[in-house]
Amino acid sequence: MIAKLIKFTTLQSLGLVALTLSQLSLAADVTVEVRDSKGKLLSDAVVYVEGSKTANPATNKAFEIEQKGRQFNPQVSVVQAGTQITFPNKDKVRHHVYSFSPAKKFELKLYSGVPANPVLFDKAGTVVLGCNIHDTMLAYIHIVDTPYFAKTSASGVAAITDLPEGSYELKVWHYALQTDNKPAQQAITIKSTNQPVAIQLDINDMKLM
Amino acid sequence: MKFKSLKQQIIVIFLTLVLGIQLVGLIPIQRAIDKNVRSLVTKELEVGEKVVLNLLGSNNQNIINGAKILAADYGFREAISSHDQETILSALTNFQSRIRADIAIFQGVDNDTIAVSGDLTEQEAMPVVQHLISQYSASSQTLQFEILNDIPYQLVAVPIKAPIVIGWMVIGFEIDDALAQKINELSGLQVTFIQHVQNKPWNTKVSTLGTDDQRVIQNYFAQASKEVAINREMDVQGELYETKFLVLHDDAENKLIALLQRSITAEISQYQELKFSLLILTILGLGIFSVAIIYVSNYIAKPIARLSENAKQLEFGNYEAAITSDRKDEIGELSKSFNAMREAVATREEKVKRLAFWDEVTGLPNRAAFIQQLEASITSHRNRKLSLTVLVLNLDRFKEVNKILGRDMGDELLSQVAKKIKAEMRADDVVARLGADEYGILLSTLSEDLALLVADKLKKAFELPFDVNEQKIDVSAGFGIAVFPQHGETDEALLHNAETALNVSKQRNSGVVVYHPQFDVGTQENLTMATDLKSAIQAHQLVLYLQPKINMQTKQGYAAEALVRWMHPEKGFIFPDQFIPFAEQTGLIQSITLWMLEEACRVHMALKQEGIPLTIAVNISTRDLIGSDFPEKIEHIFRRHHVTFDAISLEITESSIMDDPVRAEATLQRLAQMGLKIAIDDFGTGYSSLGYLKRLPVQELKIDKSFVMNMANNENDAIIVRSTIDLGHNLNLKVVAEGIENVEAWNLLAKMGCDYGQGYFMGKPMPEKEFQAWLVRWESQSQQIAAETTSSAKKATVHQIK
Repeated sequence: MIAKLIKFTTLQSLGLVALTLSQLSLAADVTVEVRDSKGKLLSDAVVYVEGSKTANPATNKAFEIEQKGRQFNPQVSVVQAGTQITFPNKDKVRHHVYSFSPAKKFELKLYSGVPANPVLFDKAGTVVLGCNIHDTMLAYIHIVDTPYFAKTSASGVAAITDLPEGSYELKVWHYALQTDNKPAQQAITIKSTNQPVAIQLDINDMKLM
Repeated sequence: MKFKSLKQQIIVIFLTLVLGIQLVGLIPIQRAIDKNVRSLVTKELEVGEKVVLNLLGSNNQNIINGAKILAADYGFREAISSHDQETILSALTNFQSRIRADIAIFQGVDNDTIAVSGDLTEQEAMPVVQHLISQYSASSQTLQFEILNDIPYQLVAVPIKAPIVIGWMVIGFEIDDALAQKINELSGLQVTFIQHVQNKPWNTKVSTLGTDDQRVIQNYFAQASKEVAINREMDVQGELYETKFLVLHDDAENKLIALLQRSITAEISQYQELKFSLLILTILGLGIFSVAIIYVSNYIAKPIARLSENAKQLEFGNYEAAITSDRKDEIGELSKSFNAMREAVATREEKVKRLAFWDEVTGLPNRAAFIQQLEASITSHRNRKLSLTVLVLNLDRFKEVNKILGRDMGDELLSQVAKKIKAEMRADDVVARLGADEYGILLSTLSEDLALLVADKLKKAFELPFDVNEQKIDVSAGFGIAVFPQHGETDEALLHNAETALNVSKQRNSGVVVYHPQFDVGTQENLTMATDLKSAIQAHQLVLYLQPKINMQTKQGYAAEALVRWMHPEKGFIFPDQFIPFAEQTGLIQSITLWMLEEACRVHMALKQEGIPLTIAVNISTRDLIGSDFPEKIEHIFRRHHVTFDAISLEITESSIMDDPVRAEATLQRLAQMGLKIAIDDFGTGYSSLGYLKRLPVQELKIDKSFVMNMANNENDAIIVRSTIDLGHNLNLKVVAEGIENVEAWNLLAKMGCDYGQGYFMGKPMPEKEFQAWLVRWESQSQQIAAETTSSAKKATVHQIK
């Protein structure tokens, strides 16, 4: 069923040929262009690559999702498991940030300013953030077990850089995916050259923010 | 339709008209009400439907709002996120009881969790929830109804977000009587929820109608289940409902319909009050109109009825009551005309009555009035056993007075007589004019003797002459008396008998005569006399008598007056006064005159042969004089008997000449020319003028015996006799005196120079056979007269009957 959703282009078949040629190259970039089934470029699609033979370097960089104008910002984030995220409140009103998602359940009871402790997201999955007193506030955090991830810009393109050559599983997730939160997968082989990948997702328009 | 009265007619026609108008007026009202009610009910239903939808919608919103509260509850969402089935269910139950919902269901978005609070299993709940979720729209909430376990519910599905949808909550409220009542209160409509589950029959679960009504509706659906229209008039046990069908739920298996109904009947019944008011108004109006119409009809018909009643009174002869009306309209005019007519009729009747019962000439009651009065008096006198006298009187020779002095004088005389009679009578005696010159007097309570005294007194009063237009007129009268009860018991008999007595008095010239039953024999004979007299002449029953007429100077008796006697085979000897007036009336007198002439001629010739040259005088009547061929007849008779014209003379009464003076004169002239001697009989009793007499070819005057007989006692009569003799002589006439009854009269007359005498003193009338013997006796008697003139002769007062 998933195979149906991912369409391979001619570029992909060329890629398979190139994989054998770039065995020895050290790193490469991959550019992914994500569209919906109607061909429209999708922003905020999370693109990441799994299956690296090398151990995943733990970046564990600090990450911030601020609340401003009664909105989470950014509304869609992608972080590597183990990342600590702080939720600074930039509004004058207080917020009560919570998540009932299995990947990370937490709540930051009514607070202003920056909470004392950041929240550790140590499990891969999707976390839906809400504010208990502002129903319209909604944000998604996609936690991945890989350091290689990116998010499509408004032009629907994401680029993963410094990816070692090799064979990977390319996954694309979008919060408005038609099917139960399962990311689209595609095997890719990374060569020295930047290899653009085009991904098409089945999007439920109703879910788009 | 036939009406008994004008009043009825007016009332029925107008009331029918008014009732008709009212009824016709009710038809458009009824129509307007019907139309109005239907459009009103339709509008009410439309409004009611909106109200119902609003109510259900706001119910829905309330449920949603309630559900949202729970859906937003952090704890509840936490329980959901942690799949805490127990907590979820208890929260649901808590919530359900808080908002008094009948059903509360939670289902997780991943279909792995379901919690049901309410009378429902999870298996039953699932498809409903799935359906609701599929129908869910955040922007527009549609009303959702379901039938679960045969119970209809209004359902609402609300998503539970955290903050994306993590599950659904479904809240259900049973459609129950409270809802129906609320709908009814807000919309005023009857509401019935009827459902059809799978193959079960249509069933009404909830309704504001009674169970019987619901059954009717169920039957209605059972029969027409497939083609239920949107709007329909439905007859539920006599009550007509405008109905709107609101389909709440309709899938392959279940149907739920809300019937919104508004009673047309009830609505119309509100107008029933209006109609009732109209009816009351109509009845009231009719009542008022009836009263007015009855008043008007009375106003019109009553005076007419009264006029009719008045007319009836007139019919009965009651003209007394005046017919009045103060009205100015046609009926007033009619009343006036009616009254004028009443007065005119009354006046005329008065006049007719006066004419019928009153004599215009004398101012006395007439015969009819007299008879009426007599009848009344008889009745009252009979009861009181009193006697009563009827006195009738008849003027002598009134006819001559009329002829000679004229009718006006005659009338004046009659009036004077009436006055005289009235003056002599008592105030309460009734005096009436019975005929031309006949008067009747009703003397109350008088016996025969007293009545005779009254009659005598009246007779005396008649001796004074009447003063008529400055002329003195002597009038005598005959009197007849009949007394109640001996002379008659009835008015008819009494009057008849009084008149019979009067007749007798007239015939006998005897003043007052009291009725005697004997008189009746004669009068009864009158009846058969007509036929008898006709045959008497042929049957030789008539006999000629002779009364000597003596020359007073020579004392020779060679003249006689021929008188007739009737030898009736049954009744015997009849005097001429009993049949001559009758013969004059019937005209038989002419035959008798002719017979007398024949007989006189025969007797003359017979006596002539005996050597007696007797001149015989024959009486002739008015009728003889009027008959123009009378002279020829006489001539014929004389020739037949070879008699000379000087052998027979004629006598004619003064009054019979006066009946027709012109013709009488002409006839007498012819007779005189023939050489007949003519004498005027009963001279002095008539009113002939001397100028007229002078022209007549007469040779003799015969002084009436009444003067002669009274001559000795009455100086006036003696003067009349003497004057008459002188008058006769001056006119060159011979004078004959009748009624000489004694020698004194003879001598007196002889001294006065009277030419001839006649009377019992010389000789009574006698048959011819006795005449010769009388003549012999007279020869000797006449010798003595001269000698006895000084001696007082025996006075004979025997009544002479001519």
